[in-house]
Amino acid sequence: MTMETVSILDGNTFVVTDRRGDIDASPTEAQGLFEDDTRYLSKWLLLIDDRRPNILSIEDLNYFEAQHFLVPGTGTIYVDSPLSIVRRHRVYQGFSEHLTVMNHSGEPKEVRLRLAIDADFADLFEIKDKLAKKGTLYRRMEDRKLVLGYRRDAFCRETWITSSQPPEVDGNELRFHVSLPPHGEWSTQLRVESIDVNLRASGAVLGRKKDVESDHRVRLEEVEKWRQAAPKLTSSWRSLERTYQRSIEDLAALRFYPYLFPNGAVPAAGLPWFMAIFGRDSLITSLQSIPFMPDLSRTTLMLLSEHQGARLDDFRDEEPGKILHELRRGEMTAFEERPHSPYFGSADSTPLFLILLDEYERWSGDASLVRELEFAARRALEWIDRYGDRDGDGYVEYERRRPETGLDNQCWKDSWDSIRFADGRLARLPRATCEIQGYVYDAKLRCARLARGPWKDSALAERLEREAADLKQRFNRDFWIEKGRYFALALDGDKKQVDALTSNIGHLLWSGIVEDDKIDACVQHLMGDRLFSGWGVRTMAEGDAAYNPIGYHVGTVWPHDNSIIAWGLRRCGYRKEAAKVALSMLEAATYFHGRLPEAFAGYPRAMTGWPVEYPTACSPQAWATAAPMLLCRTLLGLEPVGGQLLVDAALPEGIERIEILDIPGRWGQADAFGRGRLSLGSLSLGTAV
Amino acid sequence: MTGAALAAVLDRLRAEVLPPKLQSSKIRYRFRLDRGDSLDVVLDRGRLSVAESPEPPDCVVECTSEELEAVLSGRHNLLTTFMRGDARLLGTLAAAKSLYSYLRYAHVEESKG
Repeated sequence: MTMETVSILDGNTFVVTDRRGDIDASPTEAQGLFEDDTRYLSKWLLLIDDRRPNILSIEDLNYFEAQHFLVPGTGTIYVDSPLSIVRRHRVYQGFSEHLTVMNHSGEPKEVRLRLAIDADFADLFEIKDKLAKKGTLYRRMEDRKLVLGYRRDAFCRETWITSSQPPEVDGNELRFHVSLPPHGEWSTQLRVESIDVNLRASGAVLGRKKDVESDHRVRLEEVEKWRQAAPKLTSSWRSLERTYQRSIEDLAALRFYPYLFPNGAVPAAGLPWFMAIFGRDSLITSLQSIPFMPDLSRTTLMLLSEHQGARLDDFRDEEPGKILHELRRGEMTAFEERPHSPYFGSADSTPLFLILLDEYERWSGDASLVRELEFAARRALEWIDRYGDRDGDGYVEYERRRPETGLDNQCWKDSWDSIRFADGRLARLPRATCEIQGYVYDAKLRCARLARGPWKDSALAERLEREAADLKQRFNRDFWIEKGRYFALALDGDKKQVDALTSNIGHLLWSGIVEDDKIDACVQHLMGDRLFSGWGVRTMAEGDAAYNPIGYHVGTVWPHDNSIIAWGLRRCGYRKEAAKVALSMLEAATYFHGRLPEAFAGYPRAMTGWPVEYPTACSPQAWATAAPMLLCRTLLGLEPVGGQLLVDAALPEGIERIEILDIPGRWGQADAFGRGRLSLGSLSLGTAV
Repeated sequence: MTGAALAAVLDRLRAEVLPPKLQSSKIRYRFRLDRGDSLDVVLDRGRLSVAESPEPPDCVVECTSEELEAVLSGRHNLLTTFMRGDARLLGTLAAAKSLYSYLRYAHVEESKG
C-alpha cells in the first residue's frame, strides 16, 4: 500500500481511495470498496465542472472514517478558489460519503458535480492474478437507487447506491446541478451498500445488517470501550506510548467478525490483500497480544477448531485434525477455482494452535475452554504424528497435494523461493523447516501440561513428554550444522540439511528445542552482522547467495519474526540481546509513525539511518501490529506463574521507565513497572531514545 | 429425490469420528426441493436420518434434488454450494453450521455386494 492511497476499514469491509477520495481501480492499483473478498466499487470519481479537484489535506478521523479536503482548480496560483469541498468517508455496514460544497464568496455560484461510478465485482484473486470475469454485469434503477449487479449462474452480487439529494442519473453517473447562495453550502449523503444477494436470501441465518446510523454510534462506543479495556502503557519514551496506542487502534481495525461467532472477533491478517482469516496469522497475533487482549485468543481458538480439518481432500490440502491456513468468500472460492473454503496449506498452524491453547490457559485460567477444545487438540496432536509427518521420519514436513492451486511453502516464509541452500539452490520437496519442529516440540510439552491438568490424562502427558524429548534429541542431531554452528533452515526431500543461515533459529530459541550447549552459538549468529541489520534480525543472512535486502523472505526484516526472536532470547536468559532486538524494532516503529509494516528492507543501519520500506508490505498487518505488544512483554519479563503475574523487567538504560497498568489474567488485573537499568555495552544501538 | 431415496443415501452416511458437540446435538432440518417437495431429517446422536416431525425445523435447506444428492454424497461442499447460491439456508446459524460440520466428517459408505 503506497502513501498515495487512503484506507479505511471495518471488519470484513475496506475501502482504498486515492488522496482525493476517488476510486479509480486499475490492474496495478487495488483501489475500491471490498467486502468478503469482492470489489463492490471499482470507480468512484468526483468531477466539479468536468475537472477533478485538487487535494488540500486528509484527516484520519478513525480507522473507519476519513475526511478529504479539496478545492476546484482555478488554473493559476494567483486566484484563490471561492469553493471548497469536503468528502467525509465512512466504512461501516457498507460505505458512505458525506459530500459538502461550500461557497466562500459573496457571489452566488452554480456548479456541476458528476460522480462516475462503476463496480467490476472482481474477486481479490482475479485482481492479483489479472483474470477476466466469467459472469455478466448489469445495471438498473430501482426507485431512487442505482443498482449495479453481477451474476454468474446463481451467484449474484449487487452494489446499491443512493443519494439524499436526488441526482440525475446518466448511465453509471450521478449528476447534481448545485446552486450555492453567497457563503452558502450544499451537501448530500451518498450511501453504497454491498449486497451478497445469496446471503441476503438466507437473511434469517446470516443477516447482520441493521440500522446503520444507530449501529455506527454503537461501533464508536464499542471502539472506545476497546481502547479503555486495553491495559494502559506509559513510558518516559513517548514514541513507545504512541506505538502502543497505534497497535491498539490497528488491532481494533483488523478485527474480523466471523459469521459463526458474530459476538467475537479474530484478527484478520492485513490490508489490503489479507483481510481474511489466516490460521497462522491469527494464532501468532493472538499469542503476541495475550497479555493485552486475551479475548482475541479465545475467539481465534474457537473459530479455528470449528473449521478444523475433518477429511482427506487434496484440493484443499485438508487432512483430519489440521488447522486451516486461509478462509475466503469470493467468487473464485465459491466456484472452487481456488481452494480457500477453507484452504489448509499450512504446516505450522496446527502446532501453533496447541501452543496458543496452553498459553491462553496459563494467562486466563480458562480451563473450561481447554476442556471444550480437548477433542480438537487431540485431533491436532494426531495430525502432527499421522499426517504432518508424511514419511515417518519423525519430522513434520510439507508438500502441496495439488501443484496447480496449492502453496509451495507451507511455513511462515511462504513465498515460493524462501527455502534455499546457502548457495542459492532451491530445496527439494517435501520440506521440513526447522521452526516447525520447534513448534511441535513446544506444543507436545504444553499439551502434556494440559493433559495433566484439565484433561486429566497422565498417560497422554507422559507419552507427549517422551515424544518431545525424543524429538529434541533427534532434532539437535539432524538439523545442527557443526561447521557453521547453527541449525539448518530445513531438511529437504532427500533429508539433506538446507544450510542457509536464517532468522528461523530465533524461533527455535523460543520453542525450547535447542540443547543448552548450542544456544550461545545461535545467539551469536542472531546478533552478528550477517543477520542483525541494526534495525532487526534479517530473514536471511547477508552473504548467503539468495540474500536480498528487499527479498520478501530472503533478507528483509519482519517485525513479528523479531518479536518472537526477542521472546526466544529472553527465554534463554539473554536479557541484553532480547532488549537490543526489542529496542531496534521499537525504534524502527517511530519511523513508520508507530505502525510497523509487515516487513522492511534489510539494509545495514550504518548505510541507511532509517528503516527503508519494503515496496508491497501490507500495512496495517496483524502480526506486525501486535509485535510491539510482545516486545513490551519481553522487556518487562511478563510471565504467568501459578496464579500470579511475574514481572522481571530488563530494560535498556535508554528507556527510563515503562509502566503497564491493568494487565488482565487469572489474577484479575495486575500492574507492571520497569526501569532502564540494563547497560547494553557493546550491544548498544547508539539509540536516540 | 423421494423420501425413500433420501433415506437410502442417509443410511449409507457414516462418520467414524465426530466432535462431541455434534454427537450430543439433536437438530431438525427440512430439505425444500424443486417442485415444492420437502423432506424432513434429524441429526441425532451423530446420525442423520429421515424423521417426519410436527415440530418446526431448526434449519431449512432449499436446493434442487441433484444438489442435495451431491452435497450428501460429498461430491459438493455445502459451504461453497451455499456461497454460489445453489442452496439457501434459512433458520439458525448454529443449526446450519452443524449440518456443514457433520457433512465434512461423514462419508458415504460404499454399498456391499
